[in-house]
Parts: sequence; C-alpha cells; structure tokens
Amino acid sequence: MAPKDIVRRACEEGLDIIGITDHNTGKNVGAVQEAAKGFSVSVMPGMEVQTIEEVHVLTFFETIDDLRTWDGMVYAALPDIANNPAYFGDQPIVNADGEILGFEEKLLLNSVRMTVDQVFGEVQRLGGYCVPAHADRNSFALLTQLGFIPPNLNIVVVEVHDLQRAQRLVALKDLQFITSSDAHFLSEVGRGKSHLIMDGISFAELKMAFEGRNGRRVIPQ
Amino acid sequence: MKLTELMKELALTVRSAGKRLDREVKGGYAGDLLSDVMANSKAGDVWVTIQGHPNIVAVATLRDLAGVILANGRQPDAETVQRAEEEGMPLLCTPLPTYEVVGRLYRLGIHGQD
Repeated sequence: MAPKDIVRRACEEGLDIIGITDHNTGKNVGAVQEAAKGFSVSVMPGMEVQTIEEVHVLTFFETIDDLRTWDGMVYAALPDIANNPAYFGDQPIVNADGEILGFEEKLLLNSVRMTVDQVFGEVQRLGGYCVPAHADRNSFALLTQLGFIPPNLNIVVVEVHDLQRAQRLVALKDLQFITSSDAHFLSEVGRGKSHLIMDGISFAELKMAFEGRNGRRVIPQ
Repeated sequence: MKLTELMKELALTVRSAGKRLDREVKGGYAGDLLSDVMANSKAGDVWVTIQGHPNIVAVATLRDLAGVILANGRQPDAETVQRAEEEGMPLLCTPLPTYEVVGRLYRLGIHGQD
C-alpha cells in the first residue's frame, strides 16, 4: 500500500479523516501526510500499540512530532529481537511515492514492555488519545486479555469490528463505538467507517466527538 | 495442600496477603487470558499466569481462587499488589516459567479440577 494510493482510495471513498495506525510503529505516517497534501482527506497520526498484557490500543496524536516522540518511547520498549522477513515479511519504511527508504529491523509484532495503564498515561501526557482496538474480537482485545474494562482508564469509546456483535456484549454497554476499515490492503480502505458530528476537522473536535462532549458525538449506525 | 507448603519447591516470594497462605489449594489453573480464567477456573484453584494487571485480583476474587502465582519473573503492577492486599488474595512471584511451575505443582499432587 503506497501512501499515494491510500490517499487516492480514501478520497474515492469520500472519507474526510483517516487514521494511520501501523503496529507498534509510526514511522510511515509522515509519508501518508505528505502524500495527502492538496487532497481533501486529513491524515491523523497514530499507532496501534500492543501492550505487555497483549491488548491492542489505538493511539492518536495531533501532530506528527508528538507521534514521533511516542514512536521513540515505543521503540525503546520493544524487545531487541530482529525481524525474520522469511516468516513475518519485510517491514519497509517508505516515502510518499512508496519508495523504500529502509527497513525496520526490530520485530514489530512483539508486545511493547509497557502496561495498558502506562500506555494510556504516557499518551495522555503527550496530549494524545487512546481508543481500545477491536474491543469485540476474541484476540488481542481488552476484554479477552483483561476480562473486563479496567474502570481506572475512564474509557468512553472503543473501536469495534462487528457493530452488531459489540452491541450484544454487556461488558461494552454504555460505550460509544467507532468502526473502521482496519485496512491491511488497498481494497479494504473505506470498508468500515464512522460518522461523527464535529464542528470542522481538528484533533480537538475529534476528541470531543469520541467522548460525546459539547454536542459532538459518534452517530450510531 | 496449602500455599505455605509450595513456597520452597516453586521458589515463591510473597507480594500480598501473606496472612492468607494457609488456605487449602484444591487444584490448579494456568492462563493469561483473563476472560478464559474467569470462565473456567474453579474455586480453590491456585492460578498460574504472567499477567500482572490489577484485573487479576478481581478475577481471582470473583472465582474464589486460593491464590495467584506470577510466573517467569513477572512483577505485579503496584496497584495489583495493593488491591490483592485489600482483598486478602495471596499474590506470589517466582522466577520459574509457567511450564515449570505447573509441572512442579502436578508433581506435588495439585491437579486441574474437573
């Protein structure tokens, strides 16, 4: 998936905002932002982090610089185990044109040595926002790993894979749901999306919509 | 068998609720997915895991487990220790990995409960 192609597909799908959330790395987000210049779609800097409890958490930031700070912390907390491309594929870092600038050598699919509490704490300290990923699924989800939603995290919004399934889960009662494409291939861009009520496109507006504050909210599908 | 009788064989150190180690251990369960442990562990089980999150205390208390062993040198979060103390749930740590802990428990006569 070259950054230019992602942007083109997102525009074709009529998306206003896309989040780029590679697993445990933010090093390809800048290229997608670069590719989106002059297009109608906004690119939200993000990363999907795998905590030490093996919970997947989507982390979002206002600026690419904030994401880079976070990326540095996550990288330092990744075990020093090399990727084996024969098993796991290459981990390329690309530019806006999709040209390979280099390869990430540490294996990104490992768990980061940070607890879910530490991830929420550090991301919030950096002004970012955490959304538990695929909260309704049976793997790498808050509920499977930790049994129930830890109350101290004050979670109000979760990303879900299957909205109908999520609505049946008592443990997710009273939360706002966002759905997304979780696109790993170009053809999947736009297959899932959320509709939000916001007053313009900004990180602050997005946070308010996620939290259902000040009239901003997620429109239930 | 009581938790106190396992200390040496499993190289355990007590992190919480040291006064509750006289509880009878009826069986054992091992797992790191709390949703699974919540569904399948039995009252009186000693639970072997590498999860150190505070939620382990809630799960262990809910299922009335005899205690929790954190294997492989994993350390509980500070809040986990505090909650386990409040709930009177024994929390024990060992450098041994889960496989070794479970093997030794079995040898000592602690099996899974039907």
